[in-house]
Formats: sequence, C-alpha cells, structure tokens
Amino acid sequence: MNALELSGIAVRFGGNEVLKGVDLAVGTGFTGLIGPNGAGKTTVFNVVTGYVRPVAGSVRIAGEPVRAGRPAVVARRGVRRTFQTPRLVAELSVEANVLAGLDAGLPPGGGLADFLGVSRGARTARERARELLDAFGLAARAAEPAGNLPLGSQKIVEVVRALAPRPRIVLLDEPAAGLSAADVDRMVAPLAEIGERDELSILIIEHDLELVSRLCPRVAALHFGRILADGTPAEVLAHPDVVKAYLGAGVATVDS
Amino acid sequence: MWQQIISGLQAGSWYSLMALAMVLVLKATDVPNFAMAELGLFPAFCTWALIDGAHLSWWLAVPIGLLIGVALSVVVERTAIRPILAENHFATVLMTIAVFVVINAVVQLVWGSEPRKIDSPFAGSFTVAGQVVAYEQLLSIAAGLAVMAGLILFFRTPLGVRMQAIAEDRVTPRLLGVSVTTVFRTSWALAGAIATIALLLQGQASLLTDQNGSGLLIKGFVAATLGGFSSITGAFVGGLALGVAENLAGAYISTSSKTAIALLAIVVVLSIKPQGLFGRHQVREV
Amino acid sequence: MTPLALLSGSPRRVAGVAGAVAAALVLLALPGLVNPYLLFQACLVMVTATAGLGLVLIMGWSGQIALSQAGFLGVGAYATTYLVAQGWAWPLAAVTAGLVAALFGVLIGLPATRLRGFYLAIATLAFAELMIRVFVEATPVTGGIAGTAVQAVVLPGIDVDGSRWYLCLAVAAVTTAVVMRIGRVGLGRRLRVVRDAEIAAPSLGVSPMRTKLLAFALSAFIGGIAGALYAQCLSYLTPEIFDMGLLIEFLVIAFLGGVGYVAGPFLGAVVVVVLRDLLQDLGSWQRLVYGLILALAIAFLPRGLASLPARLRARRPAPPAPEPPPVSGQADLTGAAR
Repeated sequence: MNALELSGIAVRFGGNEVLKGVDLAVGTGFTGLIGPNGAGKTTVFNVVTGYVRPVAGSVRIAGEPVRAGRPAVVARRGVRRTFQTPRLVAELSVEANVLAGLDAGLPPGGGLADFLGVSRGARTARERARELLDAFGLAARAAEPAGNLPLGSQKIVEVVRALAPRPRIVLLDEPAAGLSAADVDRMVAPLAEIGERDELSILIIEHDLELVSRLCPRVAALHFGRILADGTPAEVLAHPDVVKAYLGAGVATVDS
Repeated sequence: MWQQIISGLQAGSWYSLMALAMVLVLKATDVPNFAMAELGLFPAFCTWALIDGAHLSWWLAVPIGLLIGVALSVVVERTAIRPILAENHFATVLMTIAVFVVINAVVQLVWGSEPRKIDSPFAGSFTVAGQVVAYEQLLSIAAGLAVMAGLILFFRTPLGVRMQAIAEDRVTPRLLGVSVTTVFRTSWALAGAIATIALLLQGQASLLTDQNGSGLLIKGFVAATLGGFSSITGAFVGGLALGVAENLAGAYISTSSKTAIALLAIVVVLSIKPQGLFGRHQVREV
Repeated sequence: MTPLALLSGSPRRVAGVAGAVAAALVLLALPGLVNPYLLFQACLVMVTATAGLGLVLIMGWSGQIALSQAGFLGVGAYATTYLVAQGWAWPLAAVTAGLVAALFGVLIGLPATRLRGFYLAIATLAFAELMIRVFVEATPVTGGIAGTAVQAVVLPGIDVDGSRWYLCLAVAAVTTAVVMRIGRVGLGRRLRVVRDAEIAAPSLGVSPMRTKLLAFALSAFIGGIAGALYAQCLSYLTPEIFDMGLLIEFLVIAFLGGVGYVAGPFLGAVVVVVLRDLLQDLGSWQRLVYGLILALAIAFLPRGLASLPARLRARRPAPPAPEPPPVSGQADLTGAAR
C-alpha cells in the first residue's frame, strides 16, 4: 500500500483552476515533484496537509481517507512539511524550535506533566531533538536563538523540526533553494540516511533538477495543474511535454 | 418617535463623520487610528476659544479650526506615525493610543474638564407637520452627507485612486512613481479636517468636553465596523443606524441601554460577521 | 540540584544565587524595614506587575493586542469582594474570581481567535468599556456608582499592612514562577509559534485557535487574581477605577517594561507606581507623562527596558523583532490560511 495517494484532486481559487485532477501515489523513499513556477506544486502540498480543501478528489494516508480542512489533525497523523521560507520562531532557541515539532506528540494531559517537569515525553523529546540536531551538524548551535542562524541553517532546522516526531510522510517545499552547495550536502546526507532507516516517504518540491535526479528514484512533473509525466528522472526529463513545459516557460535548464 | 429618529440621525452623522475619517486613514495608510477623535477634539476646543475668548465670528473661527485640525494631523502623522511604520502593526496601533493620551491630556491641561458650548449662527428651530426640527440637526445631517459625497468623488480622482493602490500594496505604486508621502499626508490631513467637523458639530449642537473624543472614538469604530471598515457608504450608513438605534433604545428601553448598545454592537458584529454588515472585503490581515 | 552543586558552580552563578537569596530576605523582611506608606507602594508594584504578567502571556508571547486587562481586573476585584462578603474565605474567593475572569476571557477570546490586529484591539477595548457599564449597573453586587467597601484580609499575628504585603508578595511570586515556567515548556513554545509562524502552527499539530483561547483564559485568570489583590490595596471599589486610565497604565507597563520578558512587568510597575505617586495631584500631567513615555518607548525601545541587558550584553545585534504575519505574497499559503 502507498503511504500517500492522491486521486482526482482538483482545486480552484475563485475562477482560477490551480489543480485539474491530480493523481499521485507516493511510496517509501524520495519522490520528486517538479514543474515550472505556478504549476501548482505547493498547492499539492497544501491539499495533502489539509491547508486547502479540494473541490474534488481524495487524499489517502496509508489507505485511510483524510478529512480536508483540518491541518492540525493531518499533522498528528504523521504528515509533516516545511515551507518555502522557513517559518521558525526567531527568538526561541534552535532546540526549542525543534521541540515545537514534538509538542503535539505528548499524551493528553501531557501539558500539565510538562509544566511540572515530570513528563517523560518531554524528556525523550529533548533527547530526540538533540540527536537530530547532532545528525545535521547543528548541535553546537542548539542553544542559540534561531533568528541568529543564516538562512541555510534555518532551512535545515525546519527540516529537523519536520523529522522530529518520526512522521511517516514528509513534504519538503524547495529545501535547497537559496542554500550553498555545502548546506545542501549538510541537509541531504543525514536526510537520506534517516529516510532510509525510518522508511519515510519523502515528497520534495525542488527546482534544482540535478539534485532531484540524484536523490529521487521517482519524479512526477506537474504543469498547469496536471501531472505530465511520472517515472524515473531520466524518463520524466526526457518526456517531450516536460521539455516543452520547461523550455517554453524558460525557467530552468538541465545541467546534468 | 420622529423626534428620536431625527436626533438619532443628527448624532449618527457625527458618528458617520468619525467613521469616515478612520476609514480614510485606514484605506490610504493601513493605520487603525485610535487618536482620530482627539485629532478633532483639540481643534474644536481651539475654535471654541477663538469664538468665546477672542470673540471671532463663527464664519472666521471655523475655517481656522479646520486648518488647525489639518495641521495637527499632518504633524502627528509625520512625527509619530511615519517613523515607526516599518515596525509591525502592533507598534502603530499603540502609538496612536499614545497620541490619543497625549492630546487628551493637553486638552485637559489647557481647558479643564468643564463642559463648553460653541456658539453658532444656527440656533433656533422650525416646525414641520407639527414636529420641531432644529437648524443644528439639519446642519449635522447635511454636513455628513456632503463629506460622504465628497469622499466618494475624491476616491475617483487620480490622487484618490493612488491612495487605494498604496493601501493595498506599498511597493508597486512606489515603482510606478506614486509618492507614498503625499498620499499619507493627504489622507491624514483630510481625516483631521473631517474629525474636526464632527467634533465642531457635536460641540455646537450639544456640549464640548474633554470626554467627547473617547465617546466619538468608540462610536466611530462601531460605525466603521458595521460598514466593514473599507466602504465609505457602509461607514456612513453604519453611523446613522447606530445613532438612530441608540436614540430609540434610550427612549423606549432605558437610558443605560443607550450607552451599552454601541459596545454590544461592536462585540456582536465582530463575533458574527467580522467583515461588517455592509462589508464586501475580507478582514484585513494585520 | 543539590545546594552543594550550586556552591560548586561558577563564581558568577554563586553570586547570582546569593543575590536572589538576599533579595528574597529583603522582600520578606520589608514590613520591618520601611514605613507603611512605602510598604503600600510596594504592594501596588506587586499587584500591577502580577496583572502585567498576564499581558506577557497574551501580548508578549501570543502576540495578540488585548486591551481588556483592566476589565478582567475589575471582574476579579468585584467578584472577590462580593464572595468574601458572602462569607467565603479570601483564597477561595480570589481563585473563584480568577476563574470567573477566565470565563470572560474565553468569551472575549472566542471572536478574538478569528480577528487580527486592530479588530481585536477594538473588540477587547469595547469589552473593557462594556464591563464598566456592567459594574455601574450591577448594583446588588458592585454597589453601582456609589461603590462597595472591601473587607481587609488579616493574617494571624500580622497587622493589616503586613498582611496585605505578604498576600501581594506571595501571589506575585507564585504568578512569576508559573509564567516563567510556561515560557520554558511546550505551552510557551506554542504561544510563540502561533505568534511568529501562525501558518506553520497547524503543520506542527498545534491549533492556533485553542492556543489563543488558552492564552486569553490564562491572562484573564491572572488579571482576575490581580484584581482580587488590587481590591485589598484600594479598600473601596468604584467602577471608574477600571476605566481607560488603568488600561493606559497597563500599556505603559507592557511597553516600557518590555512585554516579552517576565522581568518587564516588574520594571514597568515600578515606573508606573512611582509616577502615580509623584503625579497623583496632577491628574492631567500624569496622563501626559504616561502618553509621552508610551510614545517614546514604542519609538525608541520597542522591546522595553527588560530587553536592555540582553542588548548590551550581546555583541551581535539583538534578534529582530517578531515579524508580523505576511500580509500578502506566498500566494498559495495566504489563500490557504483563510
């Protein structure tokens, strides 16, 4: 069974049809979602995470349908995401930002135990946060306000926050945009390792097609709200419609 | 009943004017102005002093008062508001509250808390179909209508169109060569004059005290909220509706219900229909 | 942590602990150290700071402009006074009054969770004004405009002034500890996530609405308890005590002291109480000074006095003030947040 299944998803904002019947199945491992600007990629994320209610179609997580419009509920079912611009709390420490990703996992009434300092969940959460920050090379800066970190590191912190509660599905929105090559490596290596170890399903929106080809055994190309092609990176990038969409839009060229 | 309605329309016109001033500033500069009524209160007191102390004629004192209103608003916008506009809305809202406090304190220090009355040439009344109508009542209603019509026309002029463009997007109009400074200054100046008119009308038809500002502020907010805080006609109709509702409640329910009605209206409207009874736009995200 | 571990810490830490112990001793011995007048002023500082701690939660951490704290103080003050007059023990009456205020907090918070920025400011301001009308009209409970006398709490073996001080000190200390702790645990994180990254909050399993409501309830509860204490300081309650003037004092406390820090309300409260005392015969001058302080604090010290040590200590510039939620841009997300 696929971790995530979208069938016939249609989204309209006003009179603007952003998604026109998207079918997509995401299994274990990395899946790339590519397409020119305005193709509707982020809207796909918003539908999966419950931020946007589709006018038609259904989303299934591990075979079970998702009720749209309840993003907090979707998150608790093991779907986590990042944003194009990192949305961290600048004044909180890096570690606290990661812990914020673990708060919803506390048992009911956990808030009081947490307040009194007797919550075992809160202790394991701290250990988990430390372990992940260590894996991503940010342990040394764990106590610093997140706002002091450069953008690249903030994006990594957001990825760590998404991974922290051991989700089943992780959606990363342009994780490498604006990152230096060194930052990309710092993010990708541990991400790939954790993804494999925890059998995560990771859906990535990314414009860096070289990175997508390297990371994702499977890629889907979205254009004007439709999936144009779906397959191995080589197949998809060679697909005539995809080439036309990219060259026509003049957004990116294939480096590799 | 007729008497209650006409006095309601009169008070409602003051509320409408206050609401129009607030909507104007909000539309053009995106600043919710808690100091709006005080920006009219100070010039109204100046006008009173010119008539009562300096024995100027009403016809001379009122234009001077309006000029003071314009000048005060422009100065406040330049010195207190514009420097912190880059900060978040939180800071701007609180700054207007600070300006409110300062102006109110100055009015109290200069003129005390004693009620005043602005003498106007519009005393007296006439009788229509057995009902007494005061000239002041007609003046208030006419002034409210005139200002509303003027604003609607103003927002169709090139400058008015630019003002709306700037409220919606601070960057693009600048790229198109529209001066944000001009737009900000104009909207505050106009709003200052309108607030002054509201306080003058109230001060000559009823009484002028240091508390008039805070009273009109709340009523103006209610009226603007009823109108959805974006529509000029909405704010105007909201003010009239509030004035009439208050007067009818005061006459037929109890005097204390008169003051409570505005406050209840604001809480209820914001809870149920935050875009206002006449609003077409969504609640602005602040 | 054992006392031994404390002593073996760095000299700086030892000095800090020693300072705290000394401060605690001075506060405990205060009734013997200063005259009743100063002791009374110290009580006012504690009460005002306690109410200000509620603002730390709502305005500082959850980032909502709530102009209703004076109203909650009034609810707490009147409710405690009424319940004590009905024969309730003061602590029980004060906690109940806090709960009543919290209930009002949830009521005003319900629309507030859908409102932003100045709509919230208007709604909470209208609520505070409405409460004054209620205090005027609810004569059987509040005594109306004529007011109602407050029964002083006297602790066994201590005089009235001393009792009032220990009451204020104890409540302020407990509230401070609770608010500091909230700042460090999950709730404090969630409040700030909702403030700075409201769009991201649901993706972390955090409901912005519930979090905001909780902030309203907690800050109103603290306001109610502070009101119970305030009644002890005033000894006679009338509706206009809780009017716009008190609100303005709270804004001064919040913005001069620094509403993002637990120390902020205490710094702000000292300034307000001293000013109130110095300028008490000069009503309008007092408001003028408050207004100017507020304006200057917003313009030049947007994070308050409490932010100064951190600013001076840090070599690098202080972390930027929290950004307001995006007004436009990121089109697909803004659309989604509606």
